[in-house]
Amino acid sequence: MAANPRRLNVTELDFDDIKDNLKIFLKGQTEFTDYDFEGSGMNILLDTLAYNTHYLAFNANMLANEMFLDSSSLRSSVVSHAKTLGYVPQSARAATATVEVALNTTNATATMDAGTVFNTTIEGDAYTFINPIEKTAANIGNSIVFSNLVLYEGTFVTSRYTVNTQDVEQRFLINDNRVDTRTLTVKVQNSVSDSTTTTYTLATDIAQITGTSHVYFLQEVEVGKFEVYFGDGVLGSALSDDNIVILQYVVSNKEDGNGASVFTSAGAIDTVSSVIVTTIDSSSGGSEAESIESI
Amino acid sequence: MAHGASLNTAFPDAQSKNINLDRDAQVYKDLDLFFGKKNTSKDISKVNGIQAIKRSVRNLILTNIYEKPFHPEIGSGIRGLLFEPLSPITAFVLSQKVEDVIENFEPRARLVGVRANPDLDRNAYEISVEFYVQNAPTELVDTTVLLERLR
Repeated sequence: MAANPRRLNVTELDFDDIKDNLKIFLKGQTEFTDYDFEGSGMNILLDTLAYNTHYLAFNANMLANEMFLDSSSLRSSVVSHAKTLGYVPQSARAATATVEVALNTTNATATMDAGTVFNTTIEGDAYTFINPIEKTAANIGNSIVFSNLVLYEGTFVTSRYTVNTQDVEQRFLINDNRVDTRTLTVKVQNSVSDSTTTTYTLATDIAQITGTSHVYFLQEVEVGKFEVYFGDGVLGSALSDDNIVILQYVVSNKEDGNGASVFTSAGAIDTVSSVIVTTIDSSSGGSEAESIESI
Repeated sequence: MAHGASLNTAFPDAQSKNINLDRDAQVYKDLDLFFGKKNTSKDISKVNGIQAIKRSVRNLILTNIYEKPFHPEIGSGIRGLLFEPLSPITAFVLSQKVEDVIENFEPRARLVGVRANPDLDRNAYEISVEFYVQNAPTELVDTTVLLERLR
């Protein structure tokens, strides 16, 4: 069926097709005739109109695509859809190595602090591996052994936020998208003057959470960063003004940390400087954050 | 498309009045991009006939490549040349580019010649284009555009 020039065809989405439709429409009038010549003023006007229409059509198309998990292409959209299904995308992964650390001492016990650093080199480049959780071990015949200790490649980072419930936009962000969330520990100190600290755990089963459960929730937010948020007093314990949220985590170099096999302690551990590190498993498992396709 | 202050004064020359609506086989009627107001109403004025073609030629000359959305090939691409040394060689290349754009994108003009005269005092080129309107071979049309770096 021939196009009716009196009716503007609105089925096209591409720039040139939209412009052609406008030209067909303009054929139905005699006021302006030069629309078909590339240099004419009318053509410039048509360029503007067609561009605007194309822009809006693209926007509408993008919007419709982003509304569904199957067709969305922006990471923020995919992550948001995954969130409604209760799924948190996997963060970047630090390379991990398993070692045995022996301290030559007669002390009864020793504590290895969270953030204790071990050095190594991979293909000539220096890397640091971290013990992310505080460990305590007892003496066994003039030595204290931390066996099957899992070290994470990267840098140990501590972020502190003072809670202000009046600030509705306050967020507890992990400001690095290379964080390995397996290493995340969340503690809440009562206030600057009250150093009582409570360790919060990641909420995994909402049916088990009460208004006093010390749990935190984790979600991926913009540019692959993660945000920690807390309960409201009904589902999970709520925070109060002047609480200090302490986030400790390892920021890794992802797959660059794979392949390390010889580790040395960067310093004394619980004042013991004679430290022997024996590698059980070389470092492996460092990887990028979960891809959009995988989510 | 940018329009400079120095070029905004379109002279209503004699050719713009030569149009004879009753006798012309095809009448060219275009939007006035200088957005002049009609004398009789508050409507925007139109440009007709030869004047419309001259405006089209001028628009094409002043359009740079990659300026038109989705059609990077349309345009003269002379903007970069205005930052080259003011010399006869540059003027020649300039005139070649103007010829190309008119021959490629203005089917209503049968080109006779393009002259690019360097105006050293004003740091500009005066582009003079001569052409016949297709199907109207009796009247040689001449239009002049002043090209400056800053428009």
